[in-house]
Amino acid sequence: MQMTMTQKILSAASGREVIPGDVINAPVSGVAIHDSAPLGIFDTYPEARVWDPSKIVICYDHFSRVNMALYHQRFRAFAREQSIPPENVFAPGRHGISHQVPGEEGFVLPGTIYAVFDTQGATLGALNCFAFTTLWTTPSVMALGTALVVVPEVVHVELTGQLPQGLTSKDLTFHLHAQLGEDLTGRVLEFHGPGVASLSVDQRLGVANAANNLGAFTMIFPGDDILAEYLRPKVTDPYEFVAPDPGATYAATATINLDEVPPLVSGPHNIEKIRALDDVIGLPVGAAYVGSCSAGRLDDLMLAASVLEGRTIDASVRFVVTPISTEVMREANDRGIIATLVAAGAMVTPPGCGACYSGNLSPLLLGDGERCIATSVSNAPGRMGSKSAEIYLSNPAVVAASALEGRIADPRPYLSRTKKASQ
Amino acid sequence: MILEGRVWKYAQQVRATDLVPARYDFIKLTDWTECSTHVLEDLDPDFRANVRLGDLIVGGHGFGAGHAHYFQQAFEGPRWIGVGGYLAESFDPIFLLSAIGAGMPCWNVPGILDFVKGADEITCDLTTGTVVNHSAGTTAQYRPVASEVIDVLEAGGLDKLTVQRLGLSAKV
Repeated sequence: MQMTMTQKILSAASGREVIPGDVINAPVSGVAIHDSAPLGIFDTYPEARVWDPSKIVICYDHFSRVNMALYHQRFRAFAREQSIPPENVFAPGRHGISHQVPGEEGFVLPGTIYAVFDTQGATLGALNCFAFTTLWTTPSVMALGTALVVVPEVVHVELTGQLPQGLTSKDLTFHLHAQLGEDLTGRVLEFHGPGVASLSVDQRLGVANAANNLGAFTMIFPGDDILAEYLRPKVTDPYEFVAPDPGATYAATATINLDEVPPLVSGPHNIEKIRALDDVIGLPVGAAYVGSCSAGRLDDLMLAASVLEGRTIDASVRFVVTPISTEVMREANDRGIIATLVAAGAMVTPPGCGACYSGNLSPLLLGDGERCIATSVSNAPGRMGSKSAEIYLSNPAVVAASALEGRIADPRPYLSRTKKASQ
Repeated sequence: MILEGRVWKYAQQVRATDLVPARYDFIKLTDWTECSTHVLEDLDPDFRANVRLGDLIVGGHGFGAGHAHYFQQAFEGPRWIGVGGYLAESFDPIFLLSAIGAGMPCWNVPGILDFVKGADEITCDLTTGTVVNHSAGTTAQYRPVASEVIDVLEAGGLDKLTVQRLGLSAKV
């Protein structure tokens, strides 16, 4: 049988050739949970054991403003009780988002199945693996080492060209949403084509992150030299990239010319309300945010810094930047990016999910009637605070330019003297 | 695994936030009693006052779609008031696996919208794939549900099945 990447990964794991619609208990290579994940049966049955302690990763990322101390102690205790190695517990000082850190730290290998409690678990599909969210079934996955999967259909997306300067995964995912619509629902997007090489791993992670918002099951990027380079310092175990067979069957195919992706904005109140940036230019904003698992990576911080360098944000705006992980913060610090952001007037917080979700500790928390421009995951009413606040989602360059002007702004004039920052 | 009940049919896509609107975000409260008073509040204001134990919600394509943050309330709220399961032309796959994991019966039944209308009494045998429409006097055969899924539903959810598989003695 000629197989897609999805079929190859799920077939190899389950020991039989699978087709869409088949149901399997798929062996996973690892599970990542975060600091407000449910422990389910492990709470009820202290004698229950995780199937392989070395494969569990615990990331402190949400920092619940209601019960952070309680949760953090709880997961330290869980790790001790389950003999999860201390180095797998990414507590403050080493912490970061639960679907970023396992990739950074070499826990995720191409060709494997990786389970994440968080809704955005598909993010790690950028690493040529089948990554997905297992939500409240995660305690069962940790206990059995398998996840229930209905083998999904696959959409073949051919990427050509290169994103224009200042555009990122954020614009690309909005463009995918607008172009593919219902074709995405419930399916896996597998990317191919010469355009893939123009996207850094940071950008690929940002694209795959949007699977849940697009209604897709997950996304898988192919393996290439860029991914191999990303994995080299992190991964010691041998791995092989997965590629589809030439005659594999797809539910739909599409070609996206990255050259033609326009700057896009989503919102307010609805992720599907996608518009040209030009349509919202000039709307006053009082809050701006660069961060989250969608766009808090080094590429994103670098792009924001390139807009802000030598400039000062408008006094009417509170601009918060939250790096996705300690590793990204360290790198951004070493490269002077943090200094540029702070000099411009941004408040840089400790790493994590930050302002993306109103339940987290963040100085950005939106009040009644505020309008915010953000790189984060969702713009549902109440997502970042007050239900009456408006959230517009865009790429980090747009957020930074808007922070400079106190209104939604086009970053291109600010970028004209810098090199392409998103590459 | 047999579902028997009366049909509430919505031919459109029923999203997670149609089942319980996003403004009742109970993910942190898990107050299913309160949550259950808002089931289908926007899509069908008559539903809540007239739902009966075992009633089945039948929908179109992409049932349950939306941000996964809202999934749990979208099956726990309806289940709290006795909704027996969801059948749809197709489901959002993550919603489907989450609901099954929680022990809420649901499955893709392509063609179901043509086979039933609102208020029909039906019997759906997920194990064999046979659906009987008692109101219309008709029977249809669909693809049987995989044993991996039946195992979870018969155990009452993945947690209970996992406890069995680990050989632990059941609590609660």
